[in-house]
Amino acid sequence: MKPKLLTALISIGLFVSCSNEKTAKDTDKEKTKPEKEEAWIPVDSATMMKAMMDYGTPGPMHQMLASWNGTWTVEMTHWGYEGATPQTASGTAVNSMLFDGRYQQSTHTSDMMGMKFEGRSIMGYDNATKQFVSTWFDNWSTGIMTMTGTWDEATKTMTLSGTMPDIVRPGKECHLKEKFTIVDDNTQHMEMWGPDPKTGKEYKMMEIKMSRKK
Amino acid sequence: MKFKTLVIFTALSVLFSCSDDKTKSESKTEKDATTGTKEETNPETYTIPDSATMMKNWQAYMTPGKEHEVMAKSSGTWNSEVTWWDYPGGPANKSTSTATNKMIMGGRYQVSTHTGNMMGMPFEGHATLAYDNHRKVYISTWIDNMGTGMMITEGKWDESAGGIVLNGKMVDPSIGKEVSVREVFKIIDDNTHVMEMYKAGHDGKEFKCMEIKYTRKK
Repeated sequence: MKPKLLTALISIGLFVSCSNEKTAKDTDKEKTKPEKEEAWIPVDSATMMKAMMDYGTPGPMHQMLASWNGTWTVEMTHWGYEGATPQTASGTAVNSMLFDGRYQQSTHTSDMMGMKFEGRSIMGYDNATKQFVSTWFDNWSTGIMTMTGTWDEATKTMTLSGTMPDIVRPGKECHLKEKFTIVDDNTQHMEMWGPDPKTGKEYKMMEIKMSRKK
Repeated sequence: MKFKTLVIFTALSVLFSCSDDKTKSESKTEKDATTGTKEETNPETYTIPDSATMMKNWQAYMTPGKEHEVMAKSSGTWNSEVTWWDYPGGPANKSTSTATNKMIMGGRYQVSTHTGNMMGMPFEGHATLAYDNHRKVYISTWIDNMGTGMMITEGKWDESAGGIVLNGKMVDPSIGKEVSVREVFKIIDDNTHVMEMYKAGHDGKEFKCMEIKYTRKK
């Protein structure tokens, strides 16, 4: 513990001296740059330190993500367009936390239409923006899908929105919406909406039921 | 644990205190970054595609191309020399780390694991690099053991910059707000890469706040 404490104190010393110097410089620069759009407000080092602690310390949302650790059976239903015959596939998802409980990594494997499907998501809860951030990529793509959203404790639902490449239109993206509901400790439900390839109107394109493997 | 966290955040403050609040140069880079993206879905512009076209489009989207081949050349272990500046004209801070790159999912994505030591504390970072064939952009994501957010940037190869230029946002932990960032990845030769990172300084002007020189481990 002692060496750690010492390192901490030395670091604080460095930090504070650096911070003071900066603040003084800022003030000088402010005077000479009246055209600046938004004034720089010097932050004292205690405030700065608190902001960084708040940003980097896992909280209740991260604990919730960690409570979903483990192996899950995934049952997926997919509709190619509104009213299409649903396609189903089943697979396995393994959730674990990275970096001392800060981020959830989820690895999906399944067999779809006779092909091996492999996907990976990383989900974080950004303490500063108070938003969940989720990225997804798989072996049927070359892009990365990014979604952001919030948690509603009353309905145990996470609502996310984001974009993915729109295969119908060259070079374009389309908007997606996702609802992720915790049914109980061992059951989760995900629904996804996107533009219908035939009409461009929003429709439910995918539904996933996850059950914890005993 | 408390002290450990404190040291991590102290180190982080030094590393990232170069950033600023919303500034002019941010809105400039923001504009650059969003060119051709975030287009609203307009049902009227839709034409019904036949399934052969859809299949062809998807094949093109999912098949790794020459950009992925170039990416794969970076696979392996690299020594990283990190230099960062807290503010324009400030002293250069230095640290070293190791980066291991590998391609996953059939050569489609590059994942990088970074481990190092930042002011006496272990530092870990994880990056993913993609080249989206459909939108013809590179996409990069970054997470590390000091934060809770994600830095997501995207961009193209820029001949004049001599590398891939990526624009995006990250949270500046010292103020707890999102700021714009610009990264330039340069391939000097097969065994030497350079990453430069720029942010808005306190005078509103963009300045270089970090440089990482990667040298392939023999």
